[in-house]
Amino acid sequence: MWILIISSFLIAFIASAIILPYIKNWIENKKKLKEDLNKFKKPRLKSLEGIFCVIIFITTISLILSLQKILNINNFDFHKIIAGLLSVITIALINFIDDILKIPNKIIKYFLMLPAIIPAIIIDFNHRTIDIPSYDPYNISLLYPLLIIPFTILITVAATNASKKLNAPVFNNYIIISSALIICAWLKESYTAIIIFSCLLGMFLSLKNYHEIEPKNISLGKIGRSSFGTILAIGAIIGNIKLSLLILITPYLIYLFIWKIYKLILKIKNINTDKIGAIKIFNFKITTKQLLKFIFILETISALIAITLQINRVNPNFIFQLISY
Amino acid sequence: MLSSNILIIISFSLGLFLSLWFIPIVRRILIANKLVVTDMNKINYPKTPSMGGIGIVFAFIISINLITLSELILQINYMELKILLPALLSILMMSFVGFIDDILMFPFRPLKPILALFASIPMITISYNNISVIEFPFSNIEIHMGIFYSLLIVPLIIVFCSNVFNVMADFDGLSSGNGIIISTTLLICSIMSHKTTSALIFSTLLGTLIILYFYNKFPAKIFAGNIGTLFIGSIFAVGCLIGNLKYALFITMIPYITHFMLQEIIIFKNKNILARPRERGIPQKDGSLQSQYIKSYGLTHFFMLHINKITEKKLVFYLIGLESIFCILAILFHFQHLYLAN
Repeated sequence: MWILIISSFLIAFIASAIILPYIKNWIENKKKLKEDLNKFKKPRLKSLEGIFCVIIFITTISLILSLQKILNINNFDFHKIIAGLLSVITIALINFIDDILKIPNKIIKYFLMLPAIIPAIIIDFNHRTIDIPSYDPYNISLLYPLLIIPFTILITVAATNASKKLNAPVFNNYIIISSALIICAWLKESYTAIIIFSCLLGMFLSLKNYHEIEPKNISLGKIGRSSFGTILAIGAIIGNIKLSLLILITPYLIYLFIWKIYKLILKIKNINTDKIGAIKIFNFKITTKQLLKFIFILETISALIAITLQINRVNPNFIFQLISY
Repeated sequence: MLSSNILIIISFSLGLFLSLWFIPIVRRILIANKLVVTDMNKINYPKTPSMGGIGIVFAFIISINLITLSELILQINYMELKILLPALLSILMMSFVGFIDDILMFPFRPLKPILALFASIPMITISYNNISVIEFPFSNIEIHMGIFYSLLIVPLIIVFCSNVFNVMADFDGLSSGNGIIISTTLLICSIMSHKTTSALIFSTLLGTLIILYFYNKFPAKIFAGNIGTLFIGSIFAVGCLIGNLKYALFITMIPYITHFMLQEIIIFKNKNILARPRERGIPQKDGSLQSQYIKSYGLTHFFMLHINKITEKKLVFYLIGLESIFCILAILFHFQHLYLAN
């Protein structure tokens, strides 16, 4: 199994490192550019690199699937990963179309996204209980596959999409999230989820070179951000570590909440919010770098909490022992 | 309890109604974003929105997903989910490749078949260790291919079928018209073989293609684009692999294979893999099409060269007629094969 995990990490890392520079130039030639609203001069960035991140992810996982068949490794959930990939590629396609064609009605977009979640529902259709820390599992019957799974995916996609308002997609944070999820999945002994997250980690580490905070080189587009969100959610559903994921994305959700309130206030004051960068929320003098550093610290704290809670699920006295120590 | 035939009718209706809703929306959005292409087969070169395939891809995927969910909730087991999911993944991967090609245009032509090879991996993995025998019709000969079946035959069928369907689609109503006839044929063959999963796939596709045809027929209001043709071609390949209808697929694809082979002549002559001949003609003032070659480099050029003053509408009619003959042959062949097997 470790062969698959290491291969998944290495294939994603090497493929991203080799292919992305070429893709960058190709997309630049196609003039698929967008404005960076957080910069004073509003430079134009190459967008849509997200497509190739999705292709690299799907190709890597497909190669891992073939490797699993060839090596005849059995403790790997083939059908769950296929259903997960199906959801990822459908959501990627919807967002790619939205990136290019700008779907005018958001209701149509969400209508399209809901059936895209159905393959993810198939992953855990027979699961009926939700696990609340320190309590017994609570049976919620069909509400689990029909409500909790779509909610997990939609909220994670909303959280990863919140990063578009920042200067960079905060790849440092993505690296922390995927590393923390690898640890949580390892504690849960879900090797299928570890393969998904190690592939993501490999890709994020490689992509980080092109997403340095200042200056930002490329933009992932809706396709990249939404796909990353879906992949994280699918991995968490397969590994049954949804609570850890929720804790890890909390900083983004808080950020999204503040942003929405800020926009609402501006709307009441009749100010056009279309051309306002995220940094404007904070009226005091804060630079993009400082803001990202702040979110990075928050993310690290969230990761520590998520891992601690996960260890506590394996060893119920862990937190008590930690406090007494 | 729902019978499998009712499920097939429901999936057909879902495909039909959803594409009836989506295709006009997609057309409006494409026109608003100026994603239009020049129709080179008309004398006045009108601008027509491309990528109409987006509408049918979503109508298809939503219909199949809803059918799957209802199957799970109602606990009926007509569809084999373990086969259906990898099949859908392969189909969507091909559509994704088609959409990228539509938007960004691959700089290197063989990149499309290479990416299609990756799209066939989910189908390779389900056939690995499961199927390895090729049966020859009307005889008891069987060839045990071992892992070469999944590593060679499966990707070959998917890559070839999807790309071959993509190369003969430059005329109004041709891809959707032929698509309707082929999917009807394969649907009949699936029902005859009691293969519900492939029958559901083909019935949904048929529903979506009927609506696309009304928008795509002469004069076209929308083109299917690479996303549409690669999607249709990959469904034929994947559906036939699931339903074990490889021979029926082969017979229905003979016109496309002939067209492809004729095109290959020019490639070998020029010794340049990038110089694929165009299948479209040169429009004349009287509305007819004239071939730009003096030899039949493809079926379209064959008709343009051998039938005097052929219009685009007539050309498509002949090509669909030719396809229909092979589709009838495929049904007869499949029926005979099943009859002999019993």
